[in-house]
Amino acid sequence: MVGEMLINEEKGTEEPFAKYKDILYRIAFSNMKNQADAEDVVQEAFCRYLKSKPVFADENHEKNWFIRVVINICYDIQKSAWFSRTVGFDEVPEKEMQHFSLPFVQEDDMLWQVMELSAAYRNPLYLFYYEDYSVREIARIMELEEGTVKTRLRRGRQMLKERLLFGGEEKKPKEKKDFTDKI
Amino acid sequence: MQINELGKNRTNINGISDAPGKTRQKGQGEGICKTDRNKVAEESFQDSLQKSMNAENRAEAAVQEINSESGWPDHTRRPDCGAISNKDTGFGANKAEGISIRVERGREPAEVKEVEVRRLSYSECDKVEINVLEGYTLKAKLEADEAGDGAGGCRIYVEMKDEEGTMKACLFNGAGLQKDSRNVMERIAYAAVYDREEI
Repeated sequence: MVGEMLINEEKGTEEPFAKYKDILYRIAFSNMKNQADAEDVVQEAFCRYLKSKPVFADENHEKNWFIRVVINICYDIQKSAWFSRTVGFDEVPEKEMQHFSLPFVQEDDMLWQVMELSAAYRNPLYLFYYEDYSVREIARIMELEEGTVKTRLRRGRQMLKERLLFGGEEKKPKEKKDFTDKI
Repeated sequence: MQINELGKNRTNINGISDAPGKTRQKGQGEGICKTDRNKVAEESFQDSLQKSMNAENRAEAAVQEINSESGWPDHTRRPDCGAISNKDTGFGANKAEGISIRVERGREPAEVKEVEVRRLSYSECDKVEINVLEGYTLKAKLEADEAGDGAGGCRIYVEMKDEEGTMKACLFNGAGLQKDSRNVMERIAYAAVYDREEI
């Protein structure tokens, strides 16, 4: 009986796993900047999916839920004292770059520059440009106002320009305090 | 004596009588000098304008003469790639040395029409360009030319998303696309046709 349940659960997870594992891994990597942590984050997202068994209105809703969970898990890990003490967030290690690739898009140095921004700017920029999400979709995923997303996109671009021109430090926006994965 | 005469002239011109007790007000009389200076300036400007117009006419005449000798159809037109201005040939360049203006003519612009946005995903496209700093993304997809009038039998659908997320789409005819066009949508259309192997 338990075995059957497990098999059914596995079947239920297989489909979304096959569909979303790549994009979830890319989003996790853009936040964690290393392969091992990115894989852990994706695994944790699927564990949460199995635990909560959410019901989705459509495929988009399902995909957006997974992305939100992945982003929230990344936030949680990055907030932890252990992580902040042991991992440097300044740059993407060069050897880790080979574990990340974007299909259909020519990679450029700008992608790695985007990854080095703080999460509040990095995620909207990454989703908007490299995963081709609309402002509205990003607002829904990140539970923000559309205007806020537009502002972060604009400021993120401005920071990138400043970094490239002057190597300037970025200003950190107010982060949302609650990172729980509410549907 | 001379000074008095000068003063007399001045008052006469200004229309102020020599009645006692009336003093010249501030600014009066200076008009003569200013007018004279203006006249001189106007004359010199007219002269220089006339000279430059003459120089231009001479340059045009010379270009026409050269073209009629060489048998080129239109004045200043080159047989291969359009036209160049007088400044490019060096005629009349005395006024604008170092400035080179090239006027493109003789090359048909790419045929383009705005179409409805299809919201293609990156995986469906033949060419994708992401420019984070400029704030836009471009997607191009080759299509078979049903009408059969496009160069190489293709049309290129190009979709652009700007920094606000607003989308715009155009359909380019394969003929007349320019690699170095100012229009970024035309450039990616060209790249989708000719630089596909770079993806």
